[in-house]
Amino acid sequence: MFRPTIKSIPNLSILGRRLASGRAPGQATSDSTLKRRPLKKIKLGKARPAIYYQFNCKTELSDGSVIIRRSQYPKDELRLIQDQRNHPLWNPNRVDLEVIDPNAGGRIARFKQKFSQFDIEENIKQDLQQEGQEESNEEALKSEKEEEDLDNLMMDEYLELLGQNVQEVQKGGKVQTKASRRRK
Amino acid sequence: MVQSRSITPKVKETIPLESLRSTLLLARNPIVTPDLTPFEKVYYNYQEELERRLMWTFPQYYYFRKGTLSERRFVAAQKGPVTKQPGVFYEKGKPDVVHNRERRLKQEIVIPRQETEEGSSLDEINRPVIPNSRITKADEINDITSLERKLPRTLYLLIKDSKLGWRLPSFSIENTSKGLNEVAEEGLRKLGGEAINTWNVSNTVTAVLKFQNDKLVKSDDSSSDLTREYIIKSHILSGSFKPEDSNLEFAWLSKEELKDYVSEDYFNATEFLLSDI
Amino acid sequence: MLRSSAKSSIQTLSRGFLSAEQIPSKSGPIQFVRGKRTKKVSSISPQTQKIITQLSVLSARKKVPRVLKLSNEDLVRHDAVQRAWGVYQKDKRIKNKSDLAKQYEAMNNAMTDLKSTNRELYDLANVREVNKKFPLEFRIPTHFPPNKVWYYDYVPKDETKTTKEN
Repeated sequence: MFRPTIKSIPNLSILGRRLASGRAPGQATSDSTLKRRPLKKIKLGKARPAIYYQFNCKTELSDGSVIIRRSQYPKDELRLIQDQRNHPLWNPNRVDLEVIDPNAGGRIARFKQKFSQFDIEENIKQDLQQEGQEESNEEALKSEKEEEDLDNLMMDEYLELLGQNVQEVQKGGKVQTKASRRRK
Repeated sequence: MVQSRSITPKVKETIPLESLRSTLLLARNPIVTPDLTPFEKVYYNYQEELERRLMWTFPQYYYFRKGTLSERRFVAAQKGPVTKQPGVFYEKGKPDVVHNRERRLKQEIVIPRQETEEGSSLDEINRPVIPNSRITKADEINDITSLERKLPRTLYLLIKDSKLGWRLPSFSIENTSKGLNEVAEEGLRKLGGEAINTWNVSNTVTAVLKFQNDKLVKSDDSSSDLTREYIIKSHILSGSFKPEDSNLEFAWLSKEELKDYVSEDYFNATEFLLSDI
Repeated sequence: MLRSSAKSSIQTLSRGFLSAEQIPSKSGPIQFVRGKRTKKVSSISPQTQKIITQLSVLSARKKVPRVLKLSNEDLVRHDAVQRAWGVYQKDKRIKNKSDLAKQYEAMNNAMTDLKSTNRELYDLANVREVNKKFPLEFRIPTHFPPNKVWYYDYVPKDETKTTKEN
């Protein structure tokens, strides 16, 4: 996770670049780079390991069991909504699971709710596939036909969509009459 | 395989099938981590304290942006160190504070509890984590037929035989079309109902118990009138053992408890198969 | 104090800020004079100085606690604890190893015994189990138990299939 010493190195270069952009090129080079300091020698037995601060985080799994784990993130309690313990893959024999969709209130869910009716292509494909599965014979021939059917269907839908609320465009005088009506 | 078959003498086949039995060692694995011994507890505490003392200062500036509400909340929750003032005598040594941390001691950080409005949707997710007890109801009433007893231990299924007393469930072999593991699994289901989900470790035999007139003999005994029980290992995953016959007594016991139920010979013969945890 | 300084019309920055409204406009523009610099004037530019300050805030030197200083007695105590732990672990390891050896021995014995008693069962016990998988339903022990400790309502898979067909 977080390692301040490593983090600090890219910081320096970023700062350096920022400064360099606002200054004359000659000056910038001398300013933005720090002088290399001679490395300090670490004597034998004087090395100190990096022990980062860690919290004991009580983590509650989805079935209510709790494990205490170490973490550098400043939080001492964590609750998992979905994990191995309520996932159907890891619980093939359980029926009592309440599977919570973690994205239920998310952006994708909202998008789907809004635009699900426009998902015509998929719906038709699914229907056709189901039909195809039922009639397993002559699959290769059928699939070609189905594609054609699909194309025709799509075209029909498209024309229908175009045909909705269409009024023939009338030229010339009518427009003017409308305008005159409005004035009255 | 074929070669070895031709080598083995056919005389041995005279041993009747009735003298062979398939025994099931059905285990319920621990659900919680093992209880610590007093020594372990003390040692882990010592190591934890040492590590806490040597931990670096918590990099607050990394996790909380300056001037934000969360930073203010965090800072307000902290109990700051004693600072060094001129002309003051400090009984326990002069304070050495860097980054708001007393360098001579371990740093104790308090995380502020986030308060949510009552009835908000976050309330459900942000409720405090309260762990369930490691000691269950079955522990309190000492219900040995319950699978919810002794959560930190492995439990083994024992059955009371009217003649031989408490022992591992054992089943007779009718024909050689089925392996020993299948015989044991099927026998268990006949005895305790279908609603039990087990996982058979292997079709290989784990151990053999040899009896002569219902008395255990040494494993290298090769008299002709022996009854042999081949032990098969299995684990219970879900479901439970509900005997069809209500008179049948059964128990889920840990290794130590098992010692009091079975005979001493029997325990010594199976002891190494049972888990200490 | 403030009055007199205002009259002198020479002020330090902070005082000027405090008494800005009290100063009569007559006395003319205020002159700010810094105190004498006590620190050494560094040759590096303020930008570089800023970087150095930021780095030093992040640096490990600021975050490490003091070195543990144990007295001789404490060291002896610490060594005793560590050695005791080592012995404890060794005992555990030996016990575990001997148990494993016994289990292996028992398995070996049982199989050779089965070989001599019933050849067919022995062959069945040696059939390699292809596609045998470790069940996904096994759970790693946690520190505290779940809300529902054990799942009792298991229904065998084959039964569900037959009911569906019916």
